[in-house]
Amino acid sequence: MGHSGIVELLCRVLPVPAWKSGLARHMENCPACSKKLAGREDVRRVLVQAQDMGGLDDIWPAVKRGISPASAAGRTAGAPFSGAALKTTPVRPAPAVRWAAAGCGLALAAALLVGTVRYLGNPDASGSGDSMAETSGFILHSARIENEPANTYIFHPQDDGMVIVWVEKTL
Amino acid sequence: MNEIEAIEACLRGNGEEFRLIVDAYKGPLTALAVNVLGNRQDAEDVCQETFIQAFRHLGRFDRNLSLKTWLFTILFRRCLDLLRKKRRFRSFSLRAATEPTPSNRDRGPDTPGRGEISNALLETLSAKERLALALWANEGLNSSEIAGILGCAASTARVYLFNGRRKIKKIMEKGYGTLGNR
Repeated sequence: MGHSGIVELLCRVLPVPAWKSGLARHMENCPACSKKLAGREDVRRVLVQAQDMGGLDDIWPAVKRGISPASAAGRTAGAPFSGAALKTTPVRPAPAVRWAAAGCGLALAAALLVGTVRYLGNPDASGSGDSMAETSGFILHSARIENEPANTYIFHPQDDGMVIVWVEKTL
Repeated sequence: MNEIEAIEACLRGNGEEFRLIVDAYKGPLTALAVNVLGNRQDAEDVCQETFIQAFRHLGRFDRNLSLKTWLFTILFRRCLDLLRKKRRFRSFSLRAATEPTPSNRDRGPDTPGRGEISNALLETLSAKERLALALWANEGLNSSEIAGILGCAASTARVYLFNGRRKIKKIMEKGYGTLGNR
């Protein structure tokens, strides 16, 4: 196997694009390896080019219909809109609706996170700032925020050695 | 009237001036869409949608950048949307067999007509590889510019380009006659 064969094999097996990129650069510049790559003219020959695209006279009328004020305002007025040109356009909700949906999604995710944390938390492990809390060898003597005793919650998820400490200001 | 003046006119509410932009770029955009999607009907639809979307967001266009590159970026995202939709219905790879267009009805399944690309290319190269190749070969863009359109790192774009060139070379070695579109 020549060196271009080895390079090609490496290109197939390397998982990281950055490494492949280095090899690709080598193949483009190495006279022996570049023979394994199609040239610009070869590619142009097999792909479609702008000059092959005759008869595009329908584009502007369809675009014009799409950008008309009636169309932009939800196509409520004027002549009926032909959907043929835009049949693949997904209905996109208004920005306010999208933001509201995103906000609801975020709130739901936060609620789920809080619920999960509370569910996994050990209620016996919670206490006030200066109390001593012990969970599986972890000892918290005190927690203070701005020199005031703070509420502490110690979560010890089962089946792993992790301890999560949540400290919050006492209201 | 140049592009920037046309954009200014459109932003002032004169939509008719957008025709200048449509006429200037409909060819390259439709060709790029054909190369990514594989058929002209979808390419024309996506091209129309691209122009409409561009018109509606003209205010966001950075005048320091190339309008053509911006349009290519919108077009590519719309192509990906359409390909995802088609993949969902599992009809993309069977389209040529189940829905022959008038232009390819009288010829073999893998002999592309003018303005079409072969099934071998569609099956062997990914949409991103086809886009990278089309931008490189037809538009003369380099890997950094292609990366901007694809929304990836330049090294990744270089790999798309490299893989595409390698695959085309292999297909050509197997049988060039099934690839040529002219």
